[in-house]
Amino acid sequence: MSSRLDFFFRQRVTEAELDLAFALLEQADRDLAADLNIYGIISGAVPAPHSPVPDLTVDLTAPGRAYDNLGQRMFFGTGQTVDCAVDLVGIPTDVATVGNERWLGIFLRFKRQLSDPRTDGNSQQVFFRRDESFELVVRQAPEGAIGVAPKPALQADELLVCDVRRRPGQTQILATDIDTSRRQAFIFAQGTSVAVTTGTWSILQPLAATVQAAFDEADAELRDHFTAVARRHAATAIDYAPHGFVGAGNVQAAVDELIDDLATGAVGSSGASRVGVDAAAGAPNALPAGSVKSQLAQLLGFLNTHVSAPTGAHNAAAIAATPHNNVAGTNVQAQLQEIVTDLIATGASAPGVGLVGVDAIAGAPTAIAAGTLRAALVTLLGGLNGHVNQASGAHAASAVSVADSGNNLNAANVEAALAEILDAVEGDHFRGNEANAGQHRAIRQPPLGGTKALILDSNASGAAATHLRIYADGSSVWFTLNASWDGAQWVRDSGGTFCGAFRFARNEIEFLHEDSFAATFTTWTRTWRLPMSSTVNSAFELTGSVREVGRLAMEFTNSYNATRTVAGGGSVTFRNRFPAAPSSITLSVNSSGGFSGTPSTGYADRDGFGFFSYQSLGAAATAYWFGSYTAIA
Amino acid sequence: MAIQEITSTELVQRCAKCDRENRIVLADLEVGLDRDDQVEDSVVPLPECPTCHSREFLLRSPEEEQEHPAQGSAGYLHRLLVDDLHAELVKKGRVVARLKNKTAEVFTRPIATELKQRLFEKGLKLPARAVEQLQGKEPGQ
Repeated sequence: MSSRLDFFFRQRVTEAELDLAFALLEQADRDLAADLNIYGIISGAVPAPHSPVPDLTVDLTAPGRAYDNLGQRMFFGTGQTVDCAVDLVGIPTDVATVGNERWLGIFLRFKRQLSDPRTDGNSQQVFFRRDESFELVVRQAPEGAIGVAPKPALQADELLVCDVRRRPGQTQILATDIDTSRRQAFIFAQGTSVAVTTGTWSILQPLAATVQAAFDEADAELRDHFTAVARRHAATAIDYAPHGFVGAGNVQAAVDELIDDLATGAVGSSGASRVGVDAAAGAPNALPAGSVKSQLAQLLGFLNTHVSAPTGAHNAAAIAATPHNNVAGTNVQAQLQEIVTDLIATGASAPGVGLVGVDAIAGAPTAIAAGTLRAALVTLLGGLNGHVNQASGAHAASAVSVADSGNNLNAANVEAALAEILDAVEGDHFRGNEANAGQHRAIRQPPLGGTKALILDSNASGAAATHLRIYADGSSVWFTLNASWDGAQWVRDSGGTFCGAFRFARNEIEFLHEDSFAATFTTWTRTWRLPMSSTVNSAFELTGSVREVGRLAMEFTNSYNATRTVAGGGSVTFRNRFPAAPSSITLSVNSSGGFSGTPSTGYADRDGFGFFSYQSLGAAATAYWFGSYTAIA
Repeated sequence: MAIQEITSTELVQRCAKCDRENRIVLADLEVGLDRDDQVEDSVVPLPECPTCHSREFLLRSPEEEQEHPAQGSAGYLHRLLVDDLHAELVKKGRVVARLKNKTAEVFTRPIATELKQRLFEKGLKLPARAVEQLQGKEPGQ
């Protein structure tokens, strides 16, 4: 197997000769591997991020076995950790530029492990053992843009374990950073070196009778088959185990049956009823697991219920809408709100009424042209203002109706109503087109009824004291101040003010006064009545409290020539007739002479009283008494 | 002016001339006014006012007097007081000498019991407003 050395008898063997023997033997071993073209990583050395915490190292699994291109064996029995922060010469592998990346290559390289040092005959230290070993080498390629950065070149005497990607600011190498696509796995022998026998083959027809050619032919056949370029076998050639509702035994028949079954619309066995579906969650509606048919039926029910629902349908905001004209919203809710906002807008620049169109409306003298509602309103307003401001030539009053909600008129339009009103008042008033327009002619009143009919009520002064009313009853006309008649009694207008009245009748005239301050009253506290038709009719007859003050006097002379008792007297007539005879008469002197005491009085009645006095006077003496009286009744 | 109140012993009078209030003892009063040989038995002369010497004569209502046309007025109430005073004096014999033996013949008109209870429940006294009216004063004067 190897070149040999033939050592001979009594040959004195040198170090070099012994080393040559081992070298030839070792070379034979390596030549065998090289001849068979055996190289690559046989097992182990599988890369992974460092455990337990990833960093910038990569762990390799053990044991690792490999042969390089020279047939040199490499082996390690324990796991290895490769520092990827620097390359084999100590240069950092960091990526400086953001957006770039750098690829590293981890290579396995043969190395001898020297050991067992000894001293040779020249007193030099040598290592007696030179074991086969290995070393791991990190090589870096230039950094480049992500996706296009180059990878380190393969080395002739090294095996690539994996490529590792470095990124800017990277502190950990993760599984995604490790690429084994270029890993130099073990190759046992070259396919071109192994022959095959093709005589019995019916499909494969390799270009040569080698394993490599056979594999190439098989690959070509499979490629054609898999890419459907050629070598497509018929679906009928693919077995199919009947399953479910498909009873066919090959794929062609099964697919046909499946299509037919899915396409059928047969009642009770339609295709949709054969397609299963899982449950679908949702609110307010959810679909239980079942068939497409069952869920379609439920969906149809939900949809019909929704479409028919007068209330409770989904929010308008969930209905998409296409912007149109001035409406920019993209759903129904937004568009409705926008439409409302636009329609109620009052800004002069874009009022809502400007968004509403109107067709032409014929009319005379004013017509409305087709346009916006605002333009129509402008036209109408102009027409109305023109009409209102029109001094003459407007439509006739007979064209204006009268509602007459109070049912006061017979007329049905303004013209007739004005005429009716004027007809009603012109008999007692001067018309507007006559002199003294609006002033009364005669004031005439028909019977008004009531115990006292109110003829006039005038409070022209605004003061209750002169609030004048005129009433009429069956016998008298009453002129009252500060008093009104409510049908049964007199009512004082102002509580702190006297009431006065004057009553005029055919047979009598009466002045009336009320000073009780009562809110209501039926009799006047004082009255002065002139009885015009009575036999006694020369004075007013009084009622109520009467107090009269008047004058009386007497004077007389004793015409005798000696002292005598002289009597004197007279009578007083009251200015008015008292309601009754006075109950008190007081005589007060104003002036007297020769008079003793006070005259006496008596013989009183409602018209007056008498007075007298007895005085003792000397001869030719005169006595007089001038005074006044106060009579009350 | 008039009498305001009659108590059991005296008469309260206010002078119509000077407005002085005079309290006159009833025992000093007599019914009747002599004139020659006649006597006016409807009159109750009061003493002269000490201040102005005015003299008031109270006059009983005539026998033929009609019913007072303004019952409730101050004049009506005063008339009742005078009639009752006249009747009481006659009843007690306080009359002038010529009537001493003729009191039974003197016409009197005392206040009916029911009327007295209704109009003078608190005694024979005129209400304040009636006094003012008889004085010729308006309310508040």
